[in-house]
Amino acid sequence: MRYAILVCLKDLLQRMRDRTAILTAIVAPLALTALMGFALGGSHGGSGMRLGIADLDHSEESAAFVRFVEQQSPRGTVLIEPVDSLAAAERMIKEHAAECAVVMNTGFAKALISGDKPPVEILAARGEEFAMLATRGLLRDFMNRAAMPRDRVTPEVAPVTAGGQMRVVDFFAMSMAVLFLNFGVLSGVRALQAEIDLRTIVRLVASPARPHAIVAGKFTALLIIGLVQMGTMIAATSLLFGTHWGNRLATAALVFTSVLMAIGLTAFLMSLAGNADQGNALATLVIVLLSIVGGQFLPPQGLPDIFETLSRLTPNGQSFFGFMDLSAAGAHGSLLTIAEPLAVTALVGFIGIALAGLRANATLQRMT
Amino acid sequence: METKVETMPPAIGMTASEPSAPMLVVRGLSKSFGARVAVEGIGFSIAAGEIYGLLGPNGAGKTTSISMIAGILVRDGGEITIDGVDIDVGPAARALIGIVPQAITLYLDLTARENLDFWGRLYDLSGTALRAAIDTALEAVGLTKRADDIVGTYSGGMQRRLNLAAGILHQPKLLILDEPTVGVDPQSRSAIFDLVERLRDAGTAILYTTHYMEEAERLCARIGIIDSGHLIAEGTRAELIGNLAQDTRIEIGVGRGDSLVRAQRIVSALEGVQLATVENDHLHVVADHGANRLPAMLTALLNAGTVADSVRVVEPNLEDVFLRMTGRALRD
Repeated sequence: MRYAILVCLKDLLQRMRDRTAILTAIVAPLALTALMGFALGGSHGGSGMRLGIADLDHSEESAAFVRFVEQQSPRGTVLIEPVDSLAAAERMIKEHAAECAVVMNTGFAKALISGDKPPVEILAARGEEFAMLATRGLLRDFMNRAAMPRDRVTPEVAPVTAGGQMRVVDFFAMSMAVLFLNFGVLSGVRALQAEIDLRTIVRLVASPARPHAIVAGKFTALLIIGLVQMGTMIAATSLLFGTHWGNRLATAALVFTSVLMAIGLTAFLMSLAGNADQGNALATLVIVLLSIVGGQFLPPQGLPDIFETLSRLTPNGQSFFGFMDLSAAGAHGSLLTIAEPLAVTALVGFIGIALAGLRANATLQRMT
Repeated sequence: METKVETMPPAIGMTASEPSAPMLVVRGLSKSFGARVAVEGIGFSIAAGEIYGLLGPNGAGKTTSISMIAGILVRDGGEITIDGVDIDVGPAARALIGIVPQAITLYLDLTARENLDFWGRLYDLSGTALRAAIDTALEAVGLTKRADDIVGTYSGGMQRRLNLAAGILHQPKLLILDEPTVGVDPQSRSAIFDLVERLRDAGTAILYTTHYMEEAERLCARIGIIDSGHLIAEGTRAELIGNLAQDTRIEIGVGRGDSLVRAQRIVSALEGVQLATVENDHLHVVADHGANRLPAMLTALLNAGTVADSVRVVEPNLEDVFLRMTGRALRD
């Protein structure tokens, strides 16, 4: 135990010396969250989206869509502005009275029932692409529910995705937290690889400290780095941007498994490379690719279905959607809400750590 | 005819203290990596206050051997005890060992004092004892004034000296030095030699691996020659060289080109000559009791119309011992 603490403290001291790592772990995600949130959040500065809705179908289904949007926006993040025609919706967008507008033309209900493409137009002001994506996400969510058995298509159904109700700044708070968690942990894993590259591991193994104490110390340091980083991001975005992360216990659990996932993923990628520089380059490339696919740069709810499916296949996507779902569920969120993300991220973490450990041990045997 | 005869100076005296009870005992040490046998059946012992040199070219098995002795690498076979404690005991045995790996095994983003503090605590030092040990080690390697500087700002020689300090911090009974002077400046090299000799005088058993023959000759009381994973010879420098006493190397200058080739042919044919090669515009001859055969060589060359313009009789050294035993130069 004593040796593990010594190794852990030494590693943390080294991380504290690395100002680039602190920038990557804390400053960069916060700055990007603020920048992207305010830049893409529209004229309301990210505090909410004004959505014009023209119900020209006057059906039960079109009215259900309006209620669905209201129900999806419990904190008033989507402000509905009713209009009575396509022209009125266009005028509203032109005069910047709304960021986006939905026009449900005659035949909306009939198309929903028959499963045809509904006659809907979505209008958005220039520079409000994010609002348009969010609106498309809302509409698609509604249509997916409409495709369910009739008795389940009710406004009272709890949201399964959060795409429509997220503020831009909230979206980026969560996406940047997950993205930079990987980078933050990567800097720690890189230091581990450097320990092998510089052969300091030889002196460590030759010391009275048992190997499992060394591994425990190093793992604990990585865990602390990840937890502090995520904790800081959650606290800072809550205070600075008013982001609601949802149920605390469930959030804490998902933070823990997400950190495990980041350690496992980056450690495994690092172990595939010949040295710390190669490993860093490989891991950076994979993290960026996974983040693109995992929806950390654009909300996949606004994109074709295949993107959301792909996003949920990535471990970081699982973590990200887990946080989004928890936030969307608000007070109703629990560990059950994120059972799948918890299981997937933990599994990826354990497998990655185990594989990286095996490869590191083989490297050490070759090295000596 | 002007003939110049030179004799190499004898080796620098070995000042090892009298061996006492063995501090390190190694028996039948073996290790294979897959089908490749890295070390096989190596055995030797080192007494307290003795420096034992493990001499061999790169890839001979030196680092593999010391990795097993230090408990870093799991051995396939053999026994290792340090001061009577089996290495397999683990932490208790490893606490008796100080290791200075060939690489600079320091944290370059920490200061020298922070590095030593960490390594000292790993060897169960703390409080006043740790602070005193750090100050002593820093002073021993001449780095007291730079103690609070980041190690990454040090020169290669300073890092090498700090590397040594980290190995002696806890006053180990057995110190393993794996090529500790690779790539260092003459000043640091001399400082390292002085420190190693002081540690020996203080009773530390030292296992010193190197492929620099002159280091082994200066420092080591006994030397083991390792090649292809086998300990092929062991003894004091005098004992090892004594085995080659009757093989004398003679360098003869007889001009260049055809003269050299003709001289090589003439000398090769003489009785007692084992080898005659042309290197660096000189004829290099190895012969039984070569000095006694020198007049015959010079006469044969003179009779063939070749006049030697210089002659140098070279006493065998450890390099020759290694060459003779392995057929390869030590630095190959």
